[in-house]
Amino acid sequence: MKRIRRTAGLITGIFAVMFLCLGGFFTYNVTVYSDRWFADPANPNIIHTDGVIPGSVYDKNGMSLAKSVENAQGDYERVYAENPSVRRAVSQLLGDTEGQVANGVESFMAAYLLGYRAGWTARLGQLFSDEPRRGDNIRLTVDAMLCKYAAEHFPAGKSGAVVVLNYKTGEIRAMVSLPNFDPATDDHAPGSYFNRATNVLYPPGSLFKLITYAAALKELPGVESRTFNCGGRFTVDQLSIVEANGATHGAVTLRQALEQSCNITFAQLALEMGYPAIERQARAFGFNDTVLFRDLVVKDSKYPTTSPTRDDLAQSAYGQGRVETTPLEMALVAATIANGGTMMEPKLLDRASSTASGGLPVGSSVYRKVLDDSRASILKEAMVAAVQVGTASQASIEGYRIGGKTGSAEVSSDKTVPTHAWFTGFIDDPEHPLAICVLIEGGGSGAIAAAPLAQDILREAIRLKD
Amino acid sequence: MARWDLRQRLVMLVMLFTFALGMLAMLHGAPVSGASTMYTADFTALLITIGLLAMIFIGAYLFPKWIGADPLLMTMMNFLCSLGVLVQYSISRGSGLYHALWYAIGSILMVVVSLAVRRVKTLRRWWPHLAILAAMLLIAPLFNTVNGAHAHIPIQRVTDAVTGRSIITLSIQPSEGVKILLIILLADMLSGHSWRPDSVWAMGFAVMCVGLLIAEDDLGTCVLYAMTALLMFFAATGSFTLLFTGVAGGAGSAWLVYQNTGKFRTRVEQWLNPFMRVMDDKGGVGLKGYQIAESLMALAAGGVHGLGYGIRDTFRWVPEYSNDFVFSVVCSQFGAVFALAVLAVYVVILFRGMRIAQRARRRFHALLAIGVTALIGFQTFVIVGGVVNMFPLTGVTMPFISQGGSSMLSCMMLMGILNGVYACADQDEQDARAILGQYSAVRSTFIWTTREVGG
Repeated sequence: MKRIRRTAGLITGIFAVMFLCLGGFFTYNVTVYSDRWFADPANPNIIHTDGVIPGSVYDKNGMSLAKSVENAQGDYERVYAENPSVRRAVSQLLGDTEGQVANGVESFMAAYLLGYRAGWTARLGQLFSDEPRRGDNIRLTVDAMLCKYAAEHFPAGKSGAVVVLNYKTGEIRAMVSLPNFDPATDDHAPGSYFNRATNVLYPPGSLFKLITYAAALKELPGVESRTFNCGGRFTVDQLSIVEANGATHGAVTLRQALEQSCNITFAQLALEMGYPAIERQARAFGFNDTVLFRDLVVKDSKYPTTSPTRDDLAQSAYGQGRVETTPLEMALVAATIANGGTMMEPKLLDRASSTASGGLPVGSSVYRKVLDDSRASILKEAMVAAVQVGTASQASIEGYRIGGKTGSAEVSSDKTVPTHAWFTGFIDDPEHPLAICVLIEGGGSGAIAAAPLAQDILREAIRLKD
Repeated sequence: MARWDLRQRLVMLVMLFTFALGMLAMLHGAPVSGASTMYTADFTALLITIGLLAMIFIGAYLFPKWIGADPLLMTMMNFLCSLGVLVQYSISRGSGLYHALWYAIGSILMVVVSLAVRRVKTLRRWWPHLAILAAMLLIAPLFNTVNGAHAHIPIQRVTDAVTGRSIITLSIQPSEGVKILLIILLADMLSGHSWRPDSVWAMGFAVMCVGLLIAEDDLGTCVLYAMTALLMFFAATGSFTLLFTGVAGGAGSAWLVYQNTGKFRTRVEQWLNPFMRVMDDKGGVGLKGYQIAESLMALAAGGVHGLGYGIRDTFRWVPEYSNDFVFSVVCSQFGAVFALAVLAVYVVILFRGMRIAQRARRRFHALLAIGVTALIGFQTFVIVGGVVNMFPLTGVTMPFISQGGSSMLSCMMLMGILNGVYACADQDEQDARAILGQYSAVRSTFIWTTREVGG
């Protein structure tokens, strides 16, 4: 009997542990993943919304982007922004209710729009009322006019993406993907349902040098005062690295290498540091990591280190080879540097409430402290110098300190295939704390194609007081 | 007196909850199609509520007097049953009424079983008969296929007018009944004082049951039986070697099953990627683990505080929502916090069951209590863990809440065993006190010695 009494106590313990695990697993998953589960485009609750009138979506300034309007038959149908250019500019950001666009606001925030996040008082009222249930209205952080501007000024016929965000709060001001579609007429081009800002992976090209730079500042003390020699051609094992346009930079410091976007210097740095050091820094910025933002879904950026070769390591330093990322991620890199090394969680939802304008704004939150203050300020100054005297000079705006980095990412070993043009940067100004990333697929040189576009968009953003 | 106050408060709380939910059910109207039922008060719901409140009261105050039942256990069990009845009622009127009916029948059975426990000293003479009965009950459903497994005996069939296929509308799942036989027989066989040939019989019997369940392709129940039997062996022998060998053997056979059967492999793949897109038979795109995925979506719709009792739009897509997936219905209606509270209630029942096992004065009784508690614990764990995607889903019912007569009756009989053991221990203790009088020192010494001697 004594033995049974003891084993019964042990079994009680086993069950206690089992149920603690179960409760912990359940709580963790519901808090972390439940929004994502609900927002899955296959969720029948999003597809079949009979009995519910979905709420409206407004932009930052109260412009209606989508609302439900009663038609002549007494049914409710979705009506989008009046201006066709605005409709197109925010089409992938807003998404649709049919599951064509992955993780647009209309499906990803359906829990709000369909009233699943309403308070219990509102719910109790609905229980005893004959009216159909009304979902909450939501207000986004984006400025539809800025989106419209970015979409209209994008090079005609090109694909790509633009992301503008406030680096102090993480609020996304514009997120545009080209080509886009018109949700009202369902006029769409091939591939226009993709949100290229978040859901397509591209080689980051020279933008990745920012991360290699940050890693070098940490791993190689005194690296700033060293000079590197760029002879215009550098052979690793099989790989022979040449500079863009056959340039030769000669003896350069690290900052000058970033200004001039010198591939060879960064390749040498990478060979000196090795994969683990760069991988640590890239991971801190969100590569090789499952990023879970509350308001949007971003494809995970990759910095592969499996089966490493020296060639691959050297290429990875300037974002070629197998490195892949999204425009939003690169915008976050610039935003983090501009914000003193603190990455804010990107945010799309400003507020949700049952009335048109009420509700409390959702607070901003720090996602991660990526760099310490000194490294962040060194990188920031290097980016500002790149705009003042370096490759990104076409992004400069009179009267503002602009920092930036250009990139021209090769997508094929065939040199006749045009490169993807990248630019990422920020305005160093407390009134307009904006970071930007521009990607033009096959746009050629980042300095020539992407930087001027970024300049236009930032100028417009300043004019719109974003 | 303090304990009495606590009991009173707990019972009041459970009754208030049931009352509030019952009133909501009444005001909400029976969930029939169409939206114009909002204001029609539903008197069936009122009757059911009165019945449930009466059951809670009887369970907490009268059963302890009449049959020596444990008031805490009864209150917790009645809470789960009331929740079950009302949740089933919110799913459909018919299933709520059925659940209430099985609950009533089950309560009677519980009383019968708990009175029977104190009459039974040993079943040694009946071992072969009971073992053969169990084998027959488990073999019988092998010849029928219901829901892809051979675990049910069909009772009533109708022919579908459209497809011309026959659909089984009513069936019995004999493994629910064999559960009880398993626990009773194992407890009796293992109640000898040392490692005797009886244990070999016990081992043989357990292996036979598990083997037949594998043949039935009823994986969930099979896991349940195996784990319960293992814990009973561990309780009886106290041997960690046995426990770890058992766990390792279980893991090994799970690996073998995974390697060799398509069904379980699919389950594992669905568990890992429930939201993965796959092509379905008609060429459309479906979700790989749509059962799990839709359960998780319903769970997510409920969020922290739930959508409210009677809101049906979220879970009507969940497969088997009144049965295996009833936990996601509870989550979607009442929210994650309440769902955790429900789990806590199960844990209270488990702790109480083990406490009863420790209080028991006879090995047979202690092993009965351990078996019953382990079975209910594992059953809850396996189904809740499957529904929230902690491990691959294996279909078992959620005790007291899932729809289904066989499951409800067997759970109530298990609770009858537990109450019977509690009553016997109480009775034995009272006898001891009556003999020795009121001197506490002497009394505790006596109890201590008798325990030593008895064990």
